Amino acid sequence: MLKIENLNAGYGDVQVLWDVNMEINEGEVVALVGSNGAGKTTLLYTISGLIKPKSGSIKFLGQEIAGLPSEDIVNLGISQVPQGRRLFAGMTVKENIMMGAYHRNDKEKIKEDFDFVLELFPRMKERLNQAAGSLSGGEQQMCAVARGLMAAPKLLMIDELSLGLAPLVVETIYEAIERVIARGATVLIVEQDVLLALEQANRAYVLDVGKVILSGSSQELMDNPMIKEVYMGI
Amino acid sequence: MKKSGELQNSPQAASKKVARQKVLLGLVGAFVVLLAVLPLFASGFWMRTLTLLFLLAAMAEGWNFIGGYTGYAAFGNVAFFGIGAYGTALSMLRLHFPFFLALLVGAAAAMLFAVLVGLPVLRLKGHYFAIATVALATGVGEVADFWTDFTGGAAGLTLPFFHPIQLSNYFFYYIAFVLVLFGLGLTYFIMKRKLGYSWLAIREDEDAAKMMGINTTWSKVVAFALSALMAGLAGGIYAYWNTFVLAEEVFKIEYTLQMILATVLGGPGTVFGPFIGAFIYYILITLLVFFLPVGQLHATILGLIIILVMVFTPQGVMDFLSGRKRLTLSALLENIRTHKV
Repeated sequence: MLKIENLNAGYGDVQVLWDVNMEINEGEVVALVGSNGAGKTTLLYTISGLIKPKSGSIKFLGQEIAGLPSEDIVNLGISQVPQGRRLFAGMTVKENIMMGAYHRNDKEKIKEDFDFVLELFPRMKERLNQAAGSLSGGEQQMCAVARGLMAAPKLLMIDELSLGLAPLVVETIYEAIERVIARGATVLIVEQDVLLALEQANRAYVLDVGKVILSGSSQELMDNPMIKEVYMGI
Repeated sequence: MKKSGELQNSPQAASKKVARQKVLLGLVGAFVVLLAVLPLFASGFWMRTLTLLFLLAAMAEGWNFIGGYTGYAAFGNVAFFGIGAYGTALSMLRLHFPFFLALLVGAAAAMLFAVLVGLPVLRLKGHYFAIATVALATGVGEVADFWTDFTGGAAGLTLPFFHPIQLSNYFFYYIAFVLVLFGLGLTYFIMKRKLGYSWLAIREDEDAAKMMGINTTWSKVVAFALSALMAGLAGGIYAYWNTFVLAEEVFKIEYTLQMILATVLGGPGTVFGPFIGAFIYYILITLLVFFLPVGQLHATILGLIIILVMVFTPQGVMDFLSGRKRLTLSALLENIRTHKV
């Protein structure tokens, strides 16, 4: 579904990603793990068109999307739940969730999806008319995931969902995401919490200083001594 | 994380808010009706004062699109006013167009200019954008001033009087009034639609707006062009009303400041804010000139009042009128801490 080949990208003169190769198949849950500053968010931003790659190819459903404007990429079916949630703080929860469906015009399907995300996160139903900025951290993350789902994405990318949240809240949100995955969604999970990511994913890539240093099935990576030592501290 | 002074989210508070909005809408409606019939009683002086006020309100409504809703501090909107004035005047004089057609030409010229300069300039953010727009407005003014063959230069352009001249006051009063109503309607219409939401999203977080699939460049350029439409129409009306167009008059930076002040006093990013703010601004300045007719003292006091308003109610009086906040001392003090204009 998504095939990244020899991708180089960065900010201005600073190159962050070096010859990154990665593949996501339809219906798969793939984790992208790595420490702070490894380039995970940069990779997501490059896929979603916020950053133009220096070289390399990103193919989505067979179409080259490297360098396309972000709105075209959203239209093709890639949506993301950004790091730090990045809600529209002054807008209501309902407006935020509906912004996810901005590029869509299928009114009935939008309504269906809206009902689905509210069922997924009942907490949002009570908060619909509240300003998103007034939500707690966990609620904001729910709102951000709901917004990402409203895009009806073929590929959903979730960036650092667990960051700064209580473990119990993280668990609640991941349970909801598992339900989405069970419906056959293709998801790219970006996490600093390696164990958490590997539990969710079929396969994973390990990014370090902008390079993919390791990849394989989640089980393989969990058994890998280097991963155990460096990322899990076991 | 409840902010003090902010109304709670209970159902009672929500219905109270709706009731308050209805009252506000009713008051504005009554006010609009009053303004519509006012010429039956008012003297020529008041009609001329209100005509000027309407033109300011219309420009403020335009500024609100880019400055209020989209959050781009445009400091050069007077350029659109001036281009509208020159476009209208030149179409009437050189092409012998009737006024209304000339007015559309002037407004279209202002919009075209907004699109052409907006494409590069709207890539800038914050202070850089503000400075670039100031520079643009100054530059266009200079061109109008020195391109004598085309614009008449320092000699200006003289337009024919409106006929019949007895109806002149009424004509300009009502056309400016209609422009204000058009601005209100346009604002309301857009803010119920995707375009309006895209502006809000850009104001809140432009990168996140891109992630939603919003073509932010297009949205911003449309906001800029619509602000140019309002200022351009105001400029065209002003030109014909004044029957004289001079660069240093129609490109005065004070006009930009006035539309920003009106919007911010009333409430940036609200439908009625710029309209209400224009009245507040005019009432303040009229009272000050009346009571302090000494030199520029009134301007000093006005400046002081504006600073106080900015400090204590950065979101304008609509913050209180709409019921978003209660007018209490704690709410005013809270505002100092949460500045984000």
